[in-house]
Amino acid sequence: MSTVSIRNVTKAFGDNVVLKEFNETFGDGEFITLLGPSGCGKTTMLRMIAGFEKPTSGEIYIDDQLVSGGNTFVPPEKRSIGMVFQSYAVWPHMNVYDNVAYPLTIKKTPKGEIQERVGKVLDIVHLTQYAKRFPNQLSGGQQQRVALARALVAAPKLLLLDEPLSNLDAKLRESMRFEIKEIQRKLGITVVYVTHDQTEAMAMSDRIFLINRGVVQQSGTPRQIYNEPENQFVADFLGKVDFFKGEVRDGRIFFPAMGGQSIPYDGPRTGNVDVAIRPENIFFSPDGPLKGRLESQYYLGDVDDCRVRVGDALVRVIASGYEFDELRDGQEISLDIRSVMVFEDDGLLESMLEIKT
Amino acid sequence: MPSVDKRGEIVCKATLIVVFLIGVALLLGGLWGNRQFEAAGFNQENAFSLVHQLTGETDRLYQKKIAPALKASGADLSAVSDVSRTLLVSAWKTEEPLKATLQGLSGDALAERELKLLAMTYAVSGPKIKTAQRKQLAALPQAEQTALLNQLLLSATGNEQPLPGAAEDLCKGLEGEERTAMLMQIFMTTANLDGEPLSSNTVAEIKKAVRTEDKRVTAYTWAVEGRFNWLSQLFCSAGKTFVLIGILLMLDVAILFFWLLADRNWQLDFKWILILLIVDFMLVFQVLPTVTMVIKAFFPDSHFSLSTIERLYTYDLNLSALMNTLIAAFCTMILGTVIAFPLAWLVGRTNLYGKRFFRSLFVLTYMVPPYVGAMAWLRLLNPNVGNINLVLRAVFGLSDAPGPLNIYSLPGLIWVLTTFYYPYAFITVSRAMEKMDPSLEEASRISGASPITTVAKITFPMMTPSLIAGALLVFVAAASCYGIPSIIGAPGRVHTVTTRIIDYVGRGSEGMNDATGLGVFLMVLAIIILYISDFVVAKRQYITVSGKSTRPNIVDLGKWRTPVTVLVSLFACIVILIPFAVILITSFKVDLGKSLLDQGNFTLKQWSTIFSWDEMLDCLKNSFIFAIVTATIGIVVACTMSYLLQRTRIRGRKLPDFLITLGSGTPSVVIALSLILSMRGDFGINIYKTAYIMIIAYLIKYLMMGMRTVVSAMSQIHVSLEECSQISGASWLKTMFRITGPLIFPSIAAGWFLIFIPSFYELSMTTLLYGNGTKTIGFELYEYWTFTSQPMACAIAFAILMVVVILNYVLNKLTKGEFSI
Repeated sequence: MSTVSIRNVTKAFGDNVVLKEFNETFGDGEFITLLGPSGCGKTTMLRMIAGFEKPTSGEIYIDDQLVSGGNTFVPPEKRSIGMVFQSYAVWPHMNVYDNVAYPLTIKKTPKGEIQERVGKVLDIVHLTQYAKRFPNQLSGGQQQRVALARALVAAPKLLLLDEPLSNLDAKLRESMRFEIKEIQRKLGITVVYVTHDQTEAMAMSDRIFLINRGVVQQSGTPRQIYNEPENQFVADFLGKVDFFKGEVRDGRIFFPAMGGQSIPYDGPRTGNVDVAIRPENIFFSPDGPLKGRLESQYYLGDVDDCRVRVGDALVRVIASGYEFDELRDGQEISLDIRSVMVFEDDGLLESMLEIKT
Repeated sequence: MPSVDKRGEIVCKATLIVVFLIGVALLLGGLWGNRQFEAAGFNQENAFSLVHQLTGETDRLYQKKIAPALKASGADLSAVSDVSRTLLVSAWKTEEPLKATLQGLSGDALAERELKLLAMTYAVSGPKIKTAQRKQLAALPQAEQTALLNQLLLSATGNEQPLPGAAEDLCKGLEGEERTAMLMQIFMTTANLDGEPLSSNTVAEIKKAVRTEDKRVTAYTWAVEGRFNWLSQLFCSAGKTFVLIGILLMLDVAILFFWLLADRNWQLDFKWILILLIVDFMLVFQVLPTVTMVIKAFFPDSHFSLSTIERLYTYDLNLSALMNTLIAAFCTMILGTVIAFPLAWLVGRTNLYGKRFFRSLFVLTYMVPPYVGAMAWLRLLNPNVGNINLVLRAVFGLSDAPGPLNIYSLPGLIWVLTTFYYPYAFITVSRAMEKMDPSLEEASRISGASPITTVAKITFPMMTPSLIAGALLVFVAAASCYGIPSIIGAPGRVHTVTTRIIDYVGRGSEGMNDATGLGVFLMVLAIIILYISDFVVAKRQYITVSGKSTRPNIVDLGKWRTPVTVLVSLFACIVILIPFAVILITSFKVDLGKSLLDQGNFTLKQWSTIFSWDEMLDCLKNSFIFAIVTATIGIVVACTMSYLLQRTRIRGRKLPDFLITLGSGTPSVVIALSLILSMRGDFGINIYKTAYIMIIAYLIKYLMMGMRTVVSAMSQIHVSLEECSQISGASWLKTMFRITGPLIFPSIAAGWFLIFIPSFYELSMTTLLYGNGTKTIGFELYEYWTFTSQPMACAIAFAILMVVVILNYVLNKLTKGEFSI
């Protein structure tokens, strides 16, 4: 139950600026996710909160107490933080019990209390019967739980998680996701979670900070940043999206690539725009504004993933798998659009694509 | 395709049987040959091939010269026969062998055999004809020579003929049998004049190979009877070698048979030949010699006795050598580890200033010949004139008496050993620290532990297995070191096992027995420790694979950063800089006792000698050649082995690996000693005091360094890289050259240098194995130091040091900074 305030934190390694003027407050009991592609600076931010890196400039406060900044630096061991590392960092020369008890042993907690608290936390992560095992006798998922138990045992007010699930297989990852969320709810602690997996971020977070090239692109609830992205990068990073160049004229958006076909638009933007369309927001409709020809389809059971050629452009449509019994390739088809995201054509899209390729 | 399998199985089994039978044949032939040799009582085995040669040569001599002369002269055959017989009996001083070989012969055949025997006898040990007179005889025209032969035969059989001046001169004053003997000798010499039959080379060889007259008689009769054909002479003249090869072939087949049996797949594989070749090499040059040594120690007079051992271990000098070795090695181990761990941690895990510099500096010591350090410390801590002692005396106002520090003592020995062997522990621990996932330490920090607590509770316990492995390495290295104790111990009467062994070997065959006893002690010690570190400790090593590698966590030393850096620099100065500076300064001195700055005490003589004196250049050349050959053979074996170990699942690939590990774990002195015992011909190989024995010894000791480097590089390369090349259409060979080769090239280069450098300046094995033509630079240096001129030795030492540093630089450039030592 702790707040983290980050004031204008910039971090550079030599000339390489990895984080620019990060300025944010994480509230009490919040589940915060730092999301972004690898190398975006999210892990560096986490390590600065932990005290493994010092900010080049700016200050970090935990519970209104300055921990990094100016001449003040509180070393990691004095910050009372729990942390789970990507590689788990479970010590191979200690058994599960000793690993988990370590933070309490360091604090010279009485033996009886250690036993009680370790027992409790092992129970939470379902490892009670493994207490005497050594790490090399545990599976990846179990080691991960040991790391989590160790991070929780000293009842920290703040828990940092550095891509804790990335080394697990898909099934385990999904179940651990909910377990971590459940534990956080039960204990009410503040969590800062770093990941590059947007599904993880969406499923667990109260607030997501989407970071790219050291700059926060947008922050907000999962719903906000999915549905109201502030720029093309955010729209592209979360979920599936197709971009089209368009021009707003007379209350409509015209798409040159679609042979000049248009859709109605009543938003504020004018002139040249980037239009982002999520494939689940397009549907087949006999009197839709866009006319095209079905080029290919992939039946995936729950959905039918289609590509429709509209003019020169290829539009992706995710239709419900039950909606149409039979679509034939080459069939003439009309499309309607539920909602679009319209951005000013400021060249960001081009620069974004440049990085991708 | 069962039919193909079936055919392969038949081919395989047939090959095994044939090879086995060849092995048996060679063994039996060799045994027979060796018995012939022992029965004959010849001095050298090659006597048999000489006998075979003589058969042919006398044949030709008789056909070409003697028989025509006999015919042309018309001398009475029986008279010639009688004369020859008489002469032979008097030359041989016995009649028995002659009777035996001439039995049942008559007429032409009898005369032929007698004349051939006489030709050989006179060629080897007949009445002497001086070179001047031989020249006169040779100067006669062809026709006169032929005439002379006839005249000589007639004269010898009592039908006196006038002889040409040269021949007459020779016979002057001789009467009766002596005259006849001289006539026949002139006859034989003249017959043999155009050099073709009975070559002087053969004669000279047989003089060496058969040294007593009665045995020579045996050789003549065997030659004249044609007792040996090319095959039997081969078996007789290399009996032991054939026995050895035969046993090896049988052993190979047996090993192969068990592998095939275990595989249940009777198909021959080329790779097995590679494995068996390496195994055979190690068996002959490592296992056989060490076994010989052990047997010699326990069976001094070919039956079991503990007398050698008892004599050794009740003799005070040896007992104190044993104790000194154990104490010195143990203290060095403790001291070295205590120094190495904090250094490795500071360099690997903190923000010490100049970490990279210190790291390469400490590692470089690893590549410096230890005796160089001993020389430097001797200059510094000599009780009378040591620089440090002089300074201490001046500072504390002590009297001129020796001291206060004395290098010629057990603590002195331990100190120098420590400064040269702590890098073993440093390297082992540093490597383990580099591999350790930094988040293991970070997890401790975030759990509330301070940096110091983290070191104590996490870093140190996790490093324990590597630390023990490094410590044991230091122990063995210190216990089997010869260079340092020989320089420091000998003058101070601080003996160690190695110096005692080399003392004993220097005393010849008497000392050899005692040397083996001490050698066995050293070997057992090394093997026990090798076993502990390779099989007990290695199993406990924690494997920590980090996920995404982050920058290694740097512990902020804070306000301690500058003081700690100063401390480490001070250590580097004391251990590395000052000793090397002393070596360099001494190399320019005329008089050791004076300062370099004193009037006339500076000279370049030592340095100019190094680069100009022939003997020095010869030694340098030897060192380079031996080291290059060793490193090149070594790296080929290393690449083969790493391919077998890393890329095949073939049975038996671990056997050569095991033998190579065992070899490098054996103390140098023991390797050399056992090679001396077994490579002097007792087992069919005689390479004592040749270049071969040096190269073989270096290979056994240093091969593993190169092998480990290449193996670990190859294990880093995922097989898929090679498979992808093959799927792209490249053959196996092309894949090796285009993909694997370039990828592991830096390691191959590094491996080559790792074998080259220690072979280049090797001392302890060289001291035991050198011959007149195979002195090396390391040995030359040692001789200068102990017998002639210390400044000269220092100059050589510094030259060696420069070679090492330059090679290190080349290696660094060659591998684009990936490797330096």
